Amino acid sequence: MIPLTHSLIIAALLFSLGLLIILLRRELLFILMGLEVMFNGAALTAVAAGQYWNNADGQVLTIFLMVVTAAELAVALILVWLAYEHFKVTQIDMLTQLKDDTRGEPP
Amino acid sequence: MYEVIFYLTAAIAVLAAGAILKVSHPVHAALYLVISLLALALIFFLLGAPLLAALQVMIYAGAIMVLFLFLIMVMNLRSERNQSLSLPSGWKGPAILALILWLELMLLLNRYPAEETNEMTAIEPKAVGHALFGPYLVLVEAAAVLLLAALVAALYLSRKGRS
Repeated sequence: MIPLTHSLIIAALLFSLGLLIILLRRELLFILMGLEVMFNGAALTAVAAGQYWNNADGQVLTIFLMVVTAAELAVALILVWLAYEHFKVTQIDMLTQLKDDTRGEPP
Repeated sequence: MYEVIFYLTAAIAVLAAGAILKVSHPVHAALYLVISLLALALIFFLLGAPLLAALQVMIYAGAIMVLFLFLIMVMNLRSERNQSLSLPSGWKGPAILALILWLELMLLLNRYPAEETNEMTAIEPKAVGHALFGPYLVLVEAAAVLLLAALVAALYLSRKGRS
């Protein structure tokens, strides 16, 4: 058997890698990919804990996590596409304009 | 043997996730993400969650990554427009990682029936289904409402002729 701590260490590594991707690659698509990696770290935590206590609840939690991820991505990807259509950028540092901002151009 | 496969798979998952940090092209990042998700599916299988391993391959590596690739290709984020016709670079890393994953899977499927009983405590899909539609039935309904809301939001955001 794999000890629980090893699974948790792997999950923590995945989570922090996803966080690093979000913080370092400030691009819309890379942010979504980093979110996926972070979600997977969380899912691995749930599954490993569920297997450790021999309980199906961890897998149920992961199934709901997948549902939430799918719903989030469907909306988020369309928002990314709209942002790209309007501003022609994917770097989030360029997206500095609010709706009522009359000063105009992003830098 | 079982431990070796587990840690090798975990290393592949972490390596592929780390490779997303340094690749420049979004398509390459998507390839590495697929590898990471597939490795995680194998980890789920090794931990004894076969239903989740199948779902991970179908939903994440199948549906969600297709959405990602579709969006990347619609946005056409190519730095140089007129590339010469050649084999696109950057496929070697994901290919090698995927090959290792495939070899592990073959090894595992050959040994699976012999070592199933003493190596892991698998929670079968039946138990998961009982939990899902027993105490968590209300959450399943809530998830259905959430998916409907996401569908409506996606249709609203992508409508034609927005002012």
